[in-house]
Amino acid sequence: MEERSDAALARAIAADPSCRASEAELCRRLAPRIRVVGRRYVRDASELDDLVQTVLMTTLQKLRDGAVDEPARVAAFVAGVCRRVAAGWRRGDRRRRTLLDAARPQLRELSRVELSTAALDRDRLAECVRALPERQRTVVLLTFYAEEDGAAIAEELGTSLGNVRVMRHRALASLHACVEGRER
Amino acid sequence: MIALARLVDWVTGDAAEDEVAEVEQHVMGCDACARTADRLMDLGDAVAALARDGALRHAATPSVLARMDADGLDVRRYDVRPGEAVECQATPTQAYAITWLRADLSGVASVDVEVAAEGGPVLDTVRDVPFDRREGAVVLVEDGDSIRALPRIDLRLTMRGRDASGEERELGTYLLRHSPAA
Repeated sequence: MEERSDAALARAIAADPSCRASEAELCRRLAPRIRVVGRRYVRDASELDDLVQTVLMTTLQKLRDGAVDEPARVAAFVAGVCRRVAAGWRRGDRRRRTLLDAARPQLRELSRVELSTAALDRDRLAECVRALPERQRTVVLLTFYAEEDGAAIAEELGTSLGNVRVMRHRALASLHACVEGRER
Repeated sequence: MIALARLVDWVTGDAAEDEVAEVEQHVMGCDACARTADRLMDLGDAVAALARDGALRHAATPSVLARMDADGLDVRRYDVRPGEAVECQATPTQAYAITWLRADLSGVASVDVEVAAEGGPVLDTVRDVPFDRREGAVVLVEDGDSIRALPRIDLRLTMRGRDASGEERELGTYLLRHSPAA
């Protein structure tokens, strides 16, 4: 049987708010993606779980209420909810977290689903980092260890932001390929 | 599938506001892109952990040194001028040795550092090393395990610089006399 698209699932929920099967399937797909987008805003693991649940609950409620103008663009809608919730939490707004009290156990389980990726091999990664050209290695360290943004790195290395972005992109592409065993 | 460069900019926080929205919309509908973005964030976290654990050798800049200080890493510091020699060794718990190689870097566009056994072969050449022109130094950070694995050895470091026209000149030589910890 052909798998229904995210948009088709969203339309099914909007058309029949009691359709739990569509809700479960949409949540199973969206939860790991929300987790990835949410990681960019929330570092704490339990807070990230809360964020995923909050975004899923908000999305389902809006779909059930027919409040999503274009169910076909459900990904855009969810991305917007995720950004707004994360931004609100950063401002200290925790009101929406009361939604979590009403979260069904099944939804809590679904919200913890992660994308399947192999664990990183620490020793392999260390070798891959050592194999980078010196400047690329420095840019990677400045980005992820010193947590500097591109403009600050450019100033520190006496180069342009564009150059930093190119070096960083090349370095991460190399590391990504290297840890996966596809040398570049 | 979204271009890797766009995901990298998004992960590292260097994407413009409208670009952030576009990338996030795309990731929210694309498992392959979400998986790649997740991997990039894993890589970033893992690189930071390696740096904190004293597992990486690298050339440092002021921000990286400040982070190492903030993390309270167990380090030894050496400050060497051209023509000078310094005694060095690594203690059992030492995460890193940090060596400031001083030089007159005026007019220099790029720097290479050659490492050789004193009176012996070249062991390594580190090309295009970041340098601090204001401080007049290249800062090399060596991980403790690599140093502890060394036998008693004298290492001759030679720093060479190139100006914008590509003309090369020697900026200094430095002798690191390494002895294993007792």
